[in-house]
Order: sequence, then structure tokens, then C-alpha cells
Amino acid sequence: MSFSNVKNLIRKDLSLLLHPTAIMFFVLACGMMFIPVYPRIVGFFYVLIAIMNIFTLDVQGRDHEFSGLLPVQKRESVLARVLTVSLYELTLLVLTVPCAFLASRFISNTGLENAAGMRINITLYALVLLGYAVYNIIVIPGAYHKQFKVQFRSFLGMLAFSVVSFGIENLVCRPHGGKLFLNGTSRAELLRQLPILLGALAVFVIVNAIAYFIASRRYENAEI
Amino acid sequence: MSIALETKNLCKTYPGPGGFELKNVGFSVPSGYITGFIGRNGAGKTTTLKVMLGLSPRDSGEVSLFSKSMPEHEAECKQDIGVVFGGFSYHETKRLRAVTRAFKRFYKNWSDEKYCELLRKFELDENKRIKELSAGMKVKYALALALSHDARLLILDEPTSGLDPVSRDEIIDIFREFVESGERSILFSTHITSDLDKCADHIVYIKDGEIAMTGDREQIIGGYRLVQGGRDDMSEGLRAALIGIKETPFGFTGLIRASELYLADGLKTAKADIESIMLYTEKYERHEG
Repeated sequence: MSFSNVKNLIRKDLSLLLHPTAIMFFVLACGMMFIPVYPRIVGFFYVLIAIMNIFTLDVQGRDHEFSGLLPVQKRESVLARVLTVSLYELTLLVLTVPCAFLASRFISNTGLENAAGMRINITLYALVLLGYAVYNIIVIPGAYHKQFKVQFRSFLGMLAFSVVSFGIENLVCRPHGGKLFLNGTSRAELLRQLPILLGALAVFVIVNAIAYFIASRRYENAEI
Repeated sequence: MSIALETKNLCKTYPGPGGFELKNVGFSVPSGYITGFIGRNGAGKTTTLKVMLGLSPRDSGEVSLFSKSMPEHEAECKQDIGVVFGGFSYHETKRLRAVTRAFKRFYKNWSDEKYCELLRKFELDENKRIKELSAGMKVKYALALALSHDARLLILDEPTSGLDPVSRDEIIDIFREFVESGERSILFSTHITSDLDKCADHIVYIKDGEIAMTGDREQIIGGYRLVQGGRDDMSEGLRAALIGIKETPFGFTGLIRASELYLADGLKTAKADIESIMLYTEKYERHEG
């Protein structure tokens, strides 16, 4: 496995498979943090459309064949794709952090609660990471399946993301349901939420590793 | 003579109705020469190339490039080869500049100087999108990429299909120039046999997934003759010796091995070419019984 090859493959993906709307989705997701009453998960959902565009452009541009002819190993191509997808997801999360800080400050100052869903806190980020992990395990191995049925797999992935994230959000927000600190924004509550974020991050990394192993094995036997 | 590429007993089966099988495909591409890989549509040319390059998994067999086996040394081997499947039809909405920038990072021997020189020579505009190029220009762009990273072997799948005669001739001139130094080679699959008459030194002929003939082009051509005669000129011995026969109400034309030419004594004979060998082996093939 060559680090330089993987790096070049990621750069190739970003230059040839980056759809212009991805930038717009990032901006939208950041902007949505400032809407006082809004289901926060929706903003994070948009990046999944940007990721679907990577796989769609891959099929349209016959990138499997293009990459297959490059002096790289197949598993390097798969690893680069897993990292590109994760890069999209984590970039969005990181970009929204400053917006979240600002939004929490202004929204809490006005005394507004988010009646449409979770408040902006660490649990929200943990929840999104879990949703992304579920999406990746469905979509990434699917993209290296024999028929490369990308659109259908993306649809399934988005559906799974929605079920998982909206489902957990619903549990967190129920008044007598889950532990209330999960939806809190006080310093003490945020500190209690931190291990959940670390746990979600670990799940995200492990699930991506599994997605990589399944996808590489499939890609080795795929007809390109 | 050193060998640039060698395959041994390559097997690949596509099961199911309308399935296809590569049966023990084995041949070699000597360094410094152009090898023509011929066969009719569906004979297994593209499948063989894809299996060789690892784009399609093989059932069994061996492939080695510059004495290094694939896929164990896949990345290393692919540094030394340039591949052109038809024209360049990847990332068609992107500009040449963007595709080249993404492509060149992978090659240790990439030369910007050489690439710019080739763009000028082939009159390619880097600001154009791939889809705006003609079929001939796409082939030239693919060749520019392959030649700029100093490939030692070009593997080309039907590069001249769909091109006008002038463009085909230009491409063939580029091939000749490429192998001139004696260190670089080309494996060139096509069903346009006239292109091979112009430039191929060696021939590999695949028929129904099996290698039917392989060797030096002159030797292959020299090994066969076309025989022509009237209806009464056909003897049982001659009929048995003919590889393929085209019969008309007035007579026949057939392909015979040069070693059996004595059976056609007194009949009109002519030199065979690659096209006639293919035609008489495929279309006018004589079936026993």
C-alpha cells in the first residue's frame, strides 16, 4: 500500500469527481445552523447527496476503468474512495462547528428552544457520525458490487441515515424518554456528552474500515 | 529477443446463456516490435486485454510484463505501460488540462516537456473538454498521455476503429515512430487487417476465445497461399487440404498451407494476406464431413 498513491487518488477524486453542488450543500448546512427552529439533521443530510454525486460521476466518467489502468493497486483505489467520502462528511462536521458555536450563543440568548428537533450540542454530532457510518457501510461496498448499482445503494443509504438519525433524535427529544442531558447545552451536560461523541467516532472509524475491507474484496473480483 | 509481455494458459469463463470462454490463451509480445492482435468481433480480444490488465479477474493462467508477474507487481508493471481502449472516453465533461493533472501524478517518469511537445504535434487544445474531441483526437490524446510517461509497452484496443483513413494513417505513423528505438513495443488489437499490413511485425490471431495462430507476420503470410480454379479443378485431395473454400457456380477460391501447394499444381495461386487468412479461416472455413 503506497501512501503517495492513496493521496494522489484522493486528489484525483476531488478534481474529477467533485460536483459543484457539493460546495453549495456545505454552505447550506452551515447556514441552517442559524435557523432557530429546525430539524438539525437535515443540514447534515445534504452531504449525502454530494457523496452520491461522487459515485454517479464515477459511473458516468468510467472512473473505475480510468483508475484501473493507473499504476495503483485496486485496494488503494478503494481506500482513497473511503477516505474521500469520510473527508466530505468530516469536513462538513468541522465546518459547522464554528456556526454551531455562534448559533448556540445567539439562539440561547434569545431564549429560543428548538421545537423541531434536537438542540445544537455534542450529542447531535455523535448522532450524525453514527448516521454517516450506517450510510457508508451500505453505499461504499455497494459501489464496488458487480453491477455498480450506485443510485439504488445511495437511496438505501440515505433512507438508513434518515431512519437512524431521526429515530435517535426522536428518542433524545421525548420529554420523558431518554436521558435529558443528551439534549442539553450546559457546560456540565456537554461534558457528559463528550464520551458519546468519542464512542460515535470510534464506531465511524470501525465501520469505515469494515466498508473498506468488504469493498476491496468485491473490487478484486469485479468486472471493470 | 526480450519479451515485453507474456501470457500463459489464460482462462476466463463468463457463464450463462450467451456466455463466453477464453481457453488457455498464451502468446508473447517481443520488445521492439508491433504485434497485431486480430480476431473478429466477439472473438475475445478485449476480454483478453482486460484479463491481462487485471480489469477482469481470471480463472487461471499467468501474465507477466517485463518479466514481472501480474497482479503481484501490478502497480510497478503499469508504470511502464500505456493503455488505450478505443479512444479516450473517461471523464468526458472535464477539460484535458484537469484530466492530465489528475493522471500525471501517478507516473514517476512523467515529462511535462514531452507532453507539451506532443500536444503541439497532435494539435490538441488543453482547454477543450474530452467530449469536444473527435474520435481521432481522443486516440491522439490517449497516446499523448501514454507517451509522456515514457511507457515501454503500449496496449491498444481497437485504436483505429471508427477513424477515417487519413487519421488511421497518422496514428500508424505514430506507432512506427514509437517502436523505432527498438526498446518499446506495441500490442495492437484490431479487426481492420489493412492497418496490420502497414505496420505489424507479429500477429496473434484469436478465434472463439482460443489462439488460432501466432508468430511473425511474414512467416504467417508466407505459410499460406490462395488457390483459384474452375469447378472441374477440384480434386478430393485438394478439397481436404483447403482450410477454407469459397465456391461459386464457376469455380472456387480457397486457402491452402504453402507446404501443401503441390496439391494445387497447375492452378492459379496468389499470395495470401492477413485479411484473406482471417476470412477463409472464419467465414469460408471447411468443415469435415
